[in-house]
Amino acid sequence: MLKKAYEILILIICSIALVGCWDYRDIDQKCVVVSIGVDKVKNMIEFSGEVAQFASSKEKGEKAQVANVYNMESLGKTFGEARKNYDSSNPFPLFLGAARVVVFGQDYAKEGIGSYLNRVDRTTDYRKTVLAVVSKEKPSILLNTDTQKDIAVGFLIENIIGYLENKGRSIYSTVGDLLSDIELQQAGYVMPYIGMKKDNISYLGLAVMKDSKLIDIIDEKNTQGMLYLLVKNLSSFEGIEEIENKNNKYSFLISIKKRKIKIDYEKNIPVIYIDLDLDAQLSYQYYREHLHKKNIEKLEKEISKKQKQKIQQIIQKAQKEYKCDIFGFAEYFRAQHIQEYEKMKWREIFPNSKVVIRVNTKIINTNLVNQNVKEKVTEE
Amino acid sequence: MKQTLTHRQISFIVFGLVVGYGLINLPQKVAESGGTQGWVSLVFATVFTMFFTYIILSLSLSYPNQTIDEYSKVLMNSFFSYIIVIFYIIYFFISFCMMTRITCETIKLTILTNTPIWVISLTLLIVVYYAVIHKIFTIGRICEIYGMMIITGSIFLFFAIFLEGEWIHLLPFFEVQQLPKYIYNSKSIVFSFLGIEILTILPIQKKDNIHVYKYVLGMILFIGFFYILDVEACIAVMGSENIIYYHDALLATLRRIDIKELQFIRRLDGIFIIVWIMSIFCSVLIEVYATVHLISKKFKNISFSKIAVFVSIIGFFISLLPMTFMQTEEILDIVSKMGVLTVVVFPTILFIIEKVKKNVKKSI
Amino acid sequence: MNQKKLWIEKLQKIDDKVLIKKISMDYGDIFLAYIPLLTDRKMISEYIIKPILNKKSEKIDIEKLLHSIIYIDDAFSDENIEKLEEYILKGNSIIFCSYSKDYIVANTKKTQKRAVSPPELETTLRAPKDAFTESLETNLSLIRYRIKDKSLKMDSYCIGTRTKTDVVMVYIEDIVNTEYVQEVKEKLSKVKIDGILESGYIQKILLNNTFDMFPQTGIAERSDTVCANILEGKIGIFIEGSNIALVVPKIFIEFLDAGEDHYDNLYLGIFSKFLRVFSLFASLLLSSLYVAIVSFHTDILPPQFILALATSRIAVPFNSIVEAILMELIAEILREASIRLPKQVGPAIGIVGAIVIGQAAVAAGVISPLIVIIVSLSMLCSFVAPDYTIMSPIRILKFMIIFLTGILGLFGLVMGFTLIVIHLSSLTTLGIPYLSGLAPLKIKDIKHYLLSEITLSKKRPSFLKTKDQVRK
Repeated sequence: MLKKAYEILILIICSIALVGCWDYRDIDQKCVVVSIGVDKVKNMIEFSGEVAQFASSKEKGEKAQVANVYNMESLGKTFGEARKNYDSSNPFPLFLGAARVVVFGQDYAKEGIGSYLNRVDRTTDYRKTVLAVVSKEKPSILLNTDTQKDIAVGFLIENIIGYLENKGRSIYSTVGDLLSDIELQQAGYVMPYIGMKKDNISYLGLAVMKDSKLIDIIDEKNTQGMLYLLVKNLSSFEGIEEIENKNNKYSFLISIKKRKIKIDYEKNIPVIYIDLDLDAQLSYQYYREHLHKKNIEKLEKEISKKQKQKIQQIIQKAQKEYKCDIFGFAEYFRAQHIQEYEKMKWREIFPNSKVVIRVNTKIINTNLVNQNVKEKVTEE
Repeated sequence: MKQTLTHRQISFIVFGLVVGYGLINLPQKVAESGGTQGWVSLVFATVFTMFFTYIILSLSLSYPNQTIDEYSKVLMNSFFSYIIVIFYIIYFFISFCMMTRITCETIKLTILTNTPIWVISLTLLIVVYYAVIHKIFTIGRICEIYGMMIITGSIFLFFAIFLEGEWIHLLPFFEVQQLPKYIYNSKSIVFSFLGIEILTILPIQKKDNIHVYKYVLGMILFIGFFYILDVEACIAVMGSENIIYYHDALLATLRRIDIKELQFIRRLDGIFIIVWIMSIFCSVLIEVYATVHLISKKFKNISFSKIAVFVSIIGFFISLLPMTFMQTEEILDIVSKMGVLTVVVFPTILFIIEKVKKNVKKSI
Repeated sequence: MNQKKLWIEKLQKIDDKVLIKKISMDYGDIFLAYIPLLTDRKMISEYIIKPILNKKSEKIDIEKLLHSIIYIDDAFSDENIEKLEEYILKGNSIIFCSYSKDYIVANTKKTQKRAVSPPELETTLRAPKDAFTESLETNLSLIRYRIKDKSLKMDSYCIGTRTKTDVVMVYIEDIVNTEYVQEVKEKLSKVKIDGILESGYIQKILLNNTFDMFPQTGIAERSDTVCANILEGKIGIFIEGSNIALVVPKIFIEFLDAGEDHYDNLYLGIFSKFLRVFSLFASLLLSSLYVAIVSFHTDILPPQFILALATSRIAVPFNSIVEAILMELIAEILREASIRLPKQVGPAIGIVGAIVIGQAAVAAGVISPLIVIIVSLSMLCSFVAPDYTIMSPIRILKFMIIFLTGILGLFGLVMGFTLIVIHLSSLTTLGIPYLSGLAPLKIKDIKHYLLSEITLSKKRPSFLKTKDQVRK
């Protein structure tokens, strides 16, 4: 009997094998999407994007592979419909696993990007590590630009933001991060804001999102204060500060040594303590000059004051103007006062909370320039 | 040469059955019940489980090389023993069917979206059948090898996830005044430790029994630690508010991270899928073995492999019965309540009877 | 007189090639019977006939003949007429005379011997080069020469109803676990076969189940390998006419252990062991992983890799599973061809393989360059194992896994791998689990296995359950 059972089993396996391969699809039989744009055009959802175009290895030559893309576009009342419209004009099924960036159009972002993020979250082949940015231009135009850098727009954007993040000058907000942020009780978040600057795609600043809706844009120049609080990898942070002192100008490279955020809850008002220890390195002076010890201390204070101002400015803006916590303080509040957090709405108490900022700067080196050159030398 | 189950193999069989499917959805369950502090409840659940593991172990150690079928007969009259064994059979059988189903559903939803469920479950069951007919010593070895692979693989994954996670997500860690709440919450988490009932059907040698305790209780402790790592790693990346929406919490977490330094394995979900399939294979395998073993004790004149064929085929069809994912989950809920009987109630009753009998003997 | 006739008749019945020489003496005739093909005739005339004729005038009985006349070292007397046939077919000469019941069996065997030559299967950089030959005596003498222990035992059996091949079991009595000796003895005595021509026959006899895929006996061509194993507490089996000795029991991890690991640098030994384990997995799984990634789970690769992969495949008309199976088959054909080829045309295979199949097929766009790399890598990996027999099942199972992966992706891959693990863990060799060391896990054994350093591991591997655990 068992022998027969084995025979039957083998038959079944063979039949599965012959009918099988349900999910089987070679990668070259799929449209590999490099970047996706989402926008709203007259109440219609517009998808646009770049699809990798594969040339056979002979024709490819020296050109970078990532440069070969073609653009797609489709419209529909809902995501589903837009996608359906796209599919009906497409030779192969879309493959989203290689997507590097999702670009939200400004108009769409104003109405809220939450729904699309949820869609990404539940689409199996979509990576949640895909970068999400807001664009000044329409994504369909932005993704269509000729970058002249021999690289697809999607990769270009990813590389720009990735590089800036490494330098601590921007944040790299993946869809996954945003989803976590949304879940956090009524807190806002920021996303990179990109657009065209003199025919070049570039990073313009940070987009402030409240309830997943775009409410403001912080210009790149004013983001440093914010990044002191947001940057994830402290050691990579590189801020530049130029201090004018008398007739000279000093350029400093600032890095964060320690960041401590503590929230106290006193008399129904949260007090946010921000402790920042900064290290500054004197990159160069505009004119060579002695730097006395006294001056160093003075400069340290000056730097601290400036940085404090920057942070204060942005927090005030968030409290007064946005009425929304975009710094992730909510999480610190939860971590330190879970009971109060569960009872209260952070968004309501955040605008009234007190903020105490302490910035301490230390000039740790002067970039190997000898500042104690014997005075004789200069006199001569 | 006489083959024996080593103590390590016994502990790995327990590991295989306990962890199984739970690896993927445990973080969601724990975060739902206790948020960031859910791990404390896990600690309590571990302690609770260790207590009952001790009871079952000491029970089977007083009857070395026997399984529940034999010693329940000694301790109770044969009618009750019969009922208990039938209950165990039903429990193992249904949990194996439903485990197969939910596994295949999850596989279908996550990696093989177009493949019909019956193909996945058939493949799984054929492989399981091939393992079951080699009986417990082979199963012990498989569980040992796979257990080690699962542990190394998942611990690598957990640490990789921790690297990407944020410390602040894990806070608050612990609050003293919440202690009663933690204990209360551990009530629902303790179901993740179901699986120790397999000890009732493993033949355990008498000699150096302290080692058995050391290995098996140590393994339960390790599972607790393993679970905590699992939960904390997921929360560190996703945040406790977010993770409660994911049945496939660990996979969802892995899809959120991308470790650039690891080059071509920077996306870790491939490794996880391999590890997870291995772990569900182990748990389904052990459940099928338990069913077949107990049935073959009742029908001694039918050969083991015939019963194995029978159980696998019936199990295959029953696993296809529930219409939806939700239904399967409901049935699994009921099964896990049955599990309480098999882990807590029956062993305790038998344990008490055994102690009483011993005392009676002594007093005489 | 009757006795004489009977014997002559009996002898002639055995074979008409039997030559019976009559030596006439003064007191009666002495007969000498042998098969000229098997015997050393110079020896017979020099050492038997000559001395007998010298004593022509004396009265000689068998006893005297045996002890004081013939010059043959290996001679004895017997009277069992039934054994006559066996003796003479083995190349002995029979001396009998008309007036005695006994006969003398003199060893005048002549065999065509090959000189001891360097090994061909187990080539190494650093190890003794004396490989076994087809002569049983030479082989046993090589072992005796290395192990001068009084408890070295050599049990000899005669197997094969027609070939009557000598099979010798060699072990050290006070180390080896007697259960193994008993089991091997039992298996050998149960054999009913007409002929044993090579050690491979015995290898199959020792298997538990004819359908087991993995080898459970080690093959050894070098005498130092066998000696090392015997010292470890294993049994060496030598077969007359085979230049390959068997070593039992041998478990899975030992197949990845080369003799020179023990002679060479400690760290190199560890490194090369990891290398071999990796190669084993690579040889088994690489092509399947390719299929799984290209056709099912492309998203587990980073985007740059996905694009590169898709680009490399764009002009290929086959789908990945056909491509993988095709290339693996071609690689296997190349391997098979290269074994059969005479040495002089050997390089031709390299040219065909590298240029025609590798270069031209990619250039023609029939297959993708990546699969060429993968298949050649997996083939290269399959040559790494010191004992090639472990790789033969892997070569076949590879196709099973590719097939399963083609249907079910990574799930199929894991299931296929699991099937192999199940099979491996169900095997036992002489009662020892085949995966010993790994399952049941013995950390000490694994440590010693990896270190393969005689000074660091004072004890013999515990899974062998030897009588004497300590290496002294």
